[in-house]
Amino acid sequence: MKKLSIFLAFLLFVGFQAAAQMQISGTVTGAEDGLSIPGVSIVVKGNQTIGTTTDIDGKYSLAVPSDAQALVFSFVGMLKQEVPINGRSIIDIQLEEEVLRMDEVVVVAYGVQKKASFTGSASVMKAEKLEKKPVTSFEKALQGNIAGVQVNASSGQPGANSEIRIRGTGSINAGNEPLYIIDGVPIISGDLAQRQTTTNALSSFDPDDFESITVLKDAAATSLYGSRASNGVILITTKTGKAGDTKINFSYQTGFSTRTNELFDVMNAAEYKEYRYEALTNAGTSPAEAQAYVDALGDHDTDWIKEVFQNGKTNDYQLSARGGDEKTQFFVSGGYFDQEGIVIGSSMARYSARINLDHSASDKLKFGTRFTASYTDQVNPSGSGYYADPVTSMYFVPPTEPVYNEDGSYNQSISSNLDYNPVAIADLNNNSNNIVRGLGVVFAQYEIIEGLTFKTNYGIDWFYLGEDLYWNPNTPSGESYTGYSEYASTEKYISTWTNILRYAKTFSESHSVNVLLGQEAQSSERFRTFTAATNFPSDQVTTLANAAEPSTASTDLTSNSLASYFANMNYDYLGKYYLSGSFRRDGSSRFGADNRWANFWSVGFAWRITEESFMNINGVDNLRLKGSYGTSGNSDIDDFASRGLYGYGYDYNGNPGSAPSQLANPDLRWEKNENWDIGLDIGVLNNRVNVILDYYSRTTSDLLLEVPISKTTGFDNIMQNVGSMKNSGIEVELNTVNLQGEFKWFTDFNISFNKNEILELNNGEDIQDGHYMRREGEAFYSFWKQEWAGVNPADGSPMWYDSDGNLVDNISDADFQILGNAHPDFIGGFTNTFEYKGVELLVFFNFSYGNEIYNNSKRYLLHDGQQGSTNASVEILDRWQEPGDITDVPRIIEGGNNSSNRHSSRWIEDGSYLRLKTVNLGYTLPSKYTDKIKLDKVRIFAQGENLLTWTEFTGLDPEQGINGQAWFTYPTARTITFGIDIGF
Amino acid sequence: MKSIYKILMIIAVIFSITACGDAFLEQTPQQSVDSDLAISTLADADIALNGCYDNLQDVNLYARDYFVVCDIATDNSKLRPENAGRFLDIYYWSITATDGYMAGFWTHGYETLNRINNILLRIDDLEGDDVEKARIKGEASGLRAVTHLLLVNLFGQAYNENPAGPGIPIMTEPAGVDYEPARNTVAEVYAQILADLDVADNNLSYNTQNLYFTKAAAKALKSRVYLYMNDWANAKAEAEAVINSGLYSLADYVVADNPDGAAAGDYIKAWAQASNSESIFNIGFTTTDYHSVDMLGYMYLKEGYGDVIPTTDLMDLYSDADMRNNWFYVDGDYTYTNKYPGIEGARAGVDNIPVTRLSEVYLNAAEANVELGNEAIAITYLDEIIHRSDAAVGTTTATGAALRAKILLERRKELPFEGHRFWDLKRNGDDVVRVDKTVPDAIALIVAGSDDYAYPIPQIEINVNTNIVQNPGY
Repeated sequence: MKKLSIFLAFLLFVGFQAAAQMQISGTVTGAEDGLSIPGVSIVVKGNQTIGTTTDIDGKYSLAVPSDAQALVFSFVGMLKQEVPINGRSIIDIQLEEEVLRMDEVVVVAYGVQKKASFTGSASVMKAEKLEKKPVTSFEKALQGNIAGVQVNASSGQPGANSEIRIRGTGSINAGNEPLYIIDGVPIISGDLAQRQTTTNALSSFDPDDFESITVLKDAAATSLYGSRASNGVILITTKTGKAGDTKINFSYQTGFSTRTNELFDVMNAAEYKEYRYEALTNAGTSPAEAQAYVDALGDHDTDWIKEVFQNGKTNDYQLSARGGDEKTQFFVSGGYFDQEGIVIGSSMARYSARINLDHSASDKLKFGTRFTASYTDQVNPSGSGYYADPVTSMYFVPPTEPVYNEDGSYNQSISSNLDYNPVAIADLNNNSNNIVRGLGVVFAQYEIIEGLTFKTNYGIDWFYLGEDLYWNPNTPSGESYTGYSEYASTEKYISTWTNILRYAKTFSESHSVNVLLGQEAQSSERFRTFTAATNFPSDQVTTLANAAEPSTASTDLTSNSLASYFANMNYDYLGKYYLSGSFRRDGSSRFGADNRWANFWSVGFAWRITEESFMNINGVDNLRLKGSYGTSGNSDIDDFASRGLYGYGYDYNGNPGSAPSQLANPDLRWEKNENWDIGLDIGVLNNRVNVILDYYSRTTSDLLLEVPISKTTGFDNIMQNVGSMKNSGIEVELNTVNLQGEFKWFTDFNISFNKNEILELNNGEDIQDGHYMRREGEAFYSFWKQEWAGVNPADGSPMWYDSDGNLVDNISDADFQILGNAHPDFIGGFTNTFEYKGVELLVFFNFSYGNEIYNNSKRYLLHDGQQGSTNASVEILDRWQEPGDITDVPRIIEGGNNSSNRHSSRWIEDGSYLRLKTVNLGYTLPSKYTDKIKLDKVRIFAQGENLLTWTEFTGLDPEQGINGQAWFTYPTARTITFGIDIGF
Repeated sequence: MKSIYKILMIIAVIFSITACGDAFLEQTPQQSVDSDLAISTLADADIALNGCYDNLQDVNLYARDYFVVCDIATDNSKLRPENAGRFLDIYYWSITATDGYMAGFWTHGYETLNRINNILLRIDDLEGDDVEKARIKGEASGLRAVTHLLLVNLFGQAYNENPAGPGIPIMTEPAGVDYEPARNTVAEVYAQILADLDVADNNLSYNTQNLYFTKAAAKALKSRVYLYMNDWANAKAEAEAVINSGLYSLADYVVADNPDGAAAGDYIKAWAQASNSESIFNIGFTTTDYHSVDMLGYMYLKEGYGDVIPTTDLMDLYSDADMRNNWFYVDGDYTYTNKYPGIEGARAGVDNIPVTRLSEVYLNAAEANVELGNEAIAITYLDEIIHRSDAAVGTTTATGAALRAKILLERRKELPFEGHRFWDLKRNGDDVVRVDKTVPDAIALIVAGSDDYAYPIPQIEINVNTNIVQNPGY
C-alpha cells in the first residue's frame, strides 16, 4: 500500500511538473545550406514573454508551459515559422529565406527611404547584377534591365559613349541625358572629346565598386533635383564597409570577343570583277575595254574585312577589402580592366582605386569619405567614321588590292576613289586618348537631438581628357601635310556642397513625419586646349616640338554655377496612407538675367491597400496604389547662351577685329518638364509574384528652338523657349519566384511602352532637320524621305512613288513624306535565373520592337554602281540583268542608275530585335571544401554577352543610336569570358 | 537644451556662409566679352571697326558675289557653258525670293550695319584723343554709307526711276530681337547715305591709306551718289575736290610679262599690285586672309574656275591699240578676263578689290560737267582716261549728246567687273540688251524700270518681318 501511494504521489508530482512546464530543445538550420543559425528568436505562441534564442551552434532549449500550443521561430531575412508542439520535446526546424523585394530600402534623392513609403517611381539594379558584366562602362549594364530606360550604344568601340533615355526624348535642342549622382554628388558624364572619336566620361569608374544603381523616373522622385532633373536621375551608391571580420574579395575575368555576325559582307575578287565588267558595259564601255580593265586589276583577293577584324581579348581584375568595427568601417578596392577590341588598333585599359571610410566619433557624430581615382588609356581606330577609318574603309577598298606590296611595304596606291589601306592606317597613324579622373566626397553628420540630424556633404569631380592624333606622312591623310600631329586636352571639374537638415518624428504612434531642408551650391569650370602642327622631318618623331609649322594653337575656358534651396516632406498615417511634397528653388548662371531663378515642386501619395482591415484577400500580400505629379527642369544649354556677346578673330589687314557674335536674350530660361504618374505595386503568393505597373505622362514645354528673326538685327535667329513635346506610356516590372526549394527559379521581366509626340513648334511651322521632319502631332525622330517603289522588272530602273501613290521614274517627282520613325513601340528584357546546389545559371534576353532604322551605311554599300570602283555589298549580285527579273537591286551602271541610291525609303528598315544578351553559368564551391582551404567563398563562372540576335535589320547591328541612324560604326562584339571570384 | 541652441546657431551660420546670392551666380565669359563691355575704350572701338571691314570681305560682298552680279546681270559678262552652276539665276534672270545670293547680300549687309552701329552708338561717349575718335567715327559712317548703297542698289529701283519708291530699311542703331522694320523710300536711303558720307568727309583727312575709308573715299563716293541722283553740281564739286587734292594720279597701264604664279596671258601691271597711284579705297586681302577658291579673281581666271567670261559685246568696244585689251586673254575655246590677276608674289584670287578709284572719279567729273554744259572741262577729264590706254588717239571733238554718249561708253570700257554696269544702266533708264549670250535662247532684253530691275527681298526676311513689303513680280 505504501509503495503504491508513494508511486502515485510521484506520478502526480511528475505529472504536475509536466502539466506546468515542458522542456523543448532542438537545432535550427537554414533550409538552403544546412548551416546552423545562431540568434534565432523562439517564443511561445500567444505568450511572447516566454522565449529564448539559439546559441552559436543553432541549438536552443526552452521550458514552456504545458498548455503551450506552438512555438514561433523568427530571424531577420528568414520566413517566420509557427510550429505546433504536438507533444514533442525535440523540435528541429529549418528556416527558409524570406523572399524580400529586392529593395526594402530605396536610395532616393538626398537620402534613403523605405520602399513602402516611397511615393515616386524608381527602379534599382543591385551590385550582384552589375558585378558580373564585363562592360567598359557601367551604364551599359542597365540595358534591358530597367523599365522605362532605353540604353543604346552607338558604337562597340572599347570606351565608347552610350545614349540613355528615361521615359523618352524630351528635348529638341537642349540635352537629353539624365543627371548622374554618385554618393550624393553630381558627376561629369558624356563624350567630352574635341576630336571625333568616341569617349565616355562614365567609363572611368569601376562598376565593381558600386553597391546599387537607382533610376528615378517620375516627378515625386526627381523633382528634388530641380532644374537638372527633366531627363530623369540615376543615383549610384558605392560599397561601404561592415562591422565584423575583414572580408577580402578577389575577382578575375578573362575572355575573348568576336563579331556577332557576318553581315555587310562585300564581294570577293571574282565577284568584284564580274560587277565591274557589268557596270562598265552597262554604261557604254565596249566589252573589250571593260575586259581589259578587269584583267588589269590583277590576281590578288584580299578579304579586307578579315584583315581589319581580330579576336578581341578582355581581362578584368578586382581586389577589394571591406570590414571594420562598430566605430569605423572601410571599403578599399583596386581594379585593372583591359580590353582589346575586335577591330585592329583599338583597345581600352583602366586602372582604378577606391577608398571609402565611415567613422562614428560618437553616437551622434559620424563622418566619412568616398574617394576614387582612375586612369584610362584608350586607343581608337583612326579616322572616326570617315573613309580614313578602318571600320569604314574595310568595306570599300577593292578586294583586288593587296595589303602589302611585293617588297613588303604597305600598298598605299589604291586605285579607287578611296585610297586608304585600313591595315596601314591602323599601324602607321595614331588616334588615342587618356582620361584621368578623381572623385572625392567627404561628409559629416550630426544628430542634434533625437530625430533631428544635420548632414553636410562636399564633393569634387575632376576630369582630364587628353587626345592625341597623328597622321604619318607615309599615309594619304598625312602626305599632303608631310605629317600632321594634334594634341587636344579637356579639363573639367564640378564641385558641389550640400547641407541638409532632417527631422523625423512619430506622433501618437500613428502619425509619422519626415522633413528635409536643404541648401546646395555647385560650380563647374571647363578648360580646353587645342594644338596642331605639320611638316615633320620623318615618321620617327611625332610630338609637336618636332614639326616645322605650327598650324593651330588655342585655348578656351567656360564656367557656370548653380545655387539651390530645397525642402521635402513625407507624412504617413498608420503606415497606410502616405503623402509627400517637395519644393526646390534653383538659380543658374546660364539663364537670362530676367529668369535666373526657377521653382520646382511635386506632390505624391501612396496607399497601402493591404494594410486596410477590409483588405483581407488570401494570397494578396501587398497591394499599394501610388501617384505623383510635379515639375522639373532642363538647364543643359550653353553656359552663356543668354548673353549678348562679342567675339574676336574678325581680323582685317593683319589686325585683330571684334564683332557681335550673339544677340542678348534676357528672357532665356530652362525647359520645363511636367510629369504625372500613377502606379500599382502588387505582391501575391507570399510575395513570390511581384508586379509593378506604372502609367505616366511627361510633357516638356518651353523647349528651346531656333526662332528666325529679322536679319536687319544682324542675326539670323535666336533661341527662344517655344516648343513642347509629350512622352507617355506604361511600364511593367514583373519579378517572380517560380520555384523555391532546392532547385530555385526566378524570373525578372520588364517591358515599357512609350509614345512620343511633338505638341507645339514655333507658329506651328514644320522644321525639316536633315533626315527628320519635326512636325506637330508627329514623333520627334520621324524620317522625312521620298518613297521607294522598287525596281522595274522591264528594264531594271529604279522607281518611286509620289504622294498619291503613283509610280514615277524620276526621284525629283517623288514627294517627301513621313515614312516611319526611330522610336520603338516597346522595349524590355527578361531574365531567368536558376539555382541548384551551388550552380547558378542566368539567361537574359533584351528586345526592342517597332523602331525603324535609316540604314545610311547600306546606301553607300549597295550603290548600284554609282560609286565606281569602290567595293560593294555582296547583295549587289542580286541585281537586275534581263527583262522579267524580279529583284530589289536595280541594274548596275557605272556612275549610278538614275539616282537609285539617293536618300529614300529604300534604306528605311525595321530595327526590331530580340537578343540573347547574357548567359552566365556559375558554380559556388560548397562551404565544406572552401572551409578546408580557409576561404570564405569560391565561385567560378563562364559568361557570354551578345550571343544571339534575331532581327530583320540587314545592317551590322540593330542596336543603333537613339536617332535611328545607322552608319559604319564599330560593331558590338560577342564576348565570352571565364572568371573566378574568391572571398577570403 | 543650451547645447542644442548652440548647435543650431552653428548650423545657421554654416547655412548663411554657403547661402548663395546673385554674386555667386555671376559668371564671366572667357572667349567672348559681354557686348555692353566690348567697346569701352577707343582701342576697343578700333578693333570693332576692323570687324566691320572684315565683314565687307565676305564672299557675298566684296570678295566676289556683289561684283560678279553687277556685270553678269547685264551685257558685260556671261557664263562659260561648262560652268559649275553658280550665278545661273542671275544670268538667266530667273531670280526668286528664295535665291541664295539675295539671302547672302541681305544677311551680310545687315550684319555689317549692325557691327557699325554698335560702334557709332558708343563712340561719342568714349574717352580719348579727339582726332582718333573722329577717325573711327568717320570710317564707321563711311562704311555704313557703302553698305546702305550696296543694298539699295540691289533691292530698290533706281533713284531716277522713282525716288519715292520702296528702298531698304535704314539701320542707324543696333536693334533688339523683336525689331521688324518697314522699308524706307529710296530717297530716304540716299539722304542717309549722303549724311553719313558728309560725317565721314568732315571727320576724316586726306591720306593714302587706301585699305581704309578716307576723306577722298567719302568725296569720291559722294560724287558717285550725286551722279546716281542726277545732281550734277554736287557731283562735279566732290569729284573735282578729289582730283585736285593732288593725292592721286592715274596709274600707267603697262603690260607685264607673265611670270610664274600670276595669271595666264599678259596683264596690266598696275592691276597686279597691292595698290597703285590711283587706289582710293580697296578692300584688302592677303594670302592668310582671303577666301581661297571663292575669290573674284578665281571666278574669272581660267586657272581658277573661269566660269564667268567677258562678252564680245564688251570686248568689241576696244580699239586694237587699246591697252585695256590686256584685260582679256584667250585660252582654249574661250576668252577670259585677267583684270584680277592676283597680286604679284601671291596667288590667284588674292587681289585688293577696288571700291572706288581715281579713274571712276574722272569719269564722274566728266559726266557731271557735260550735263552742266562745261564741255571743255568734261573733255579734259575724258581724254586723260582715253589717252592713258591709247596714247595715239586724238583729242575728243564730240559735243552735246554725242559727247555724253562717249563719256558713258568710256565709263563702260574703263570700269567693267568693278561693280558699276548694272547701276549705270539702272540710273540712266537703259535696258539690258545682249547680243553675245551663253546659250542662244538666253534672255536678250530686260526693260529698264521693269520689275526685274529690283531684286526680290529674300524670303527668310519676308517670313519673319510683318512690316516688309515684297517687290512686285516676286
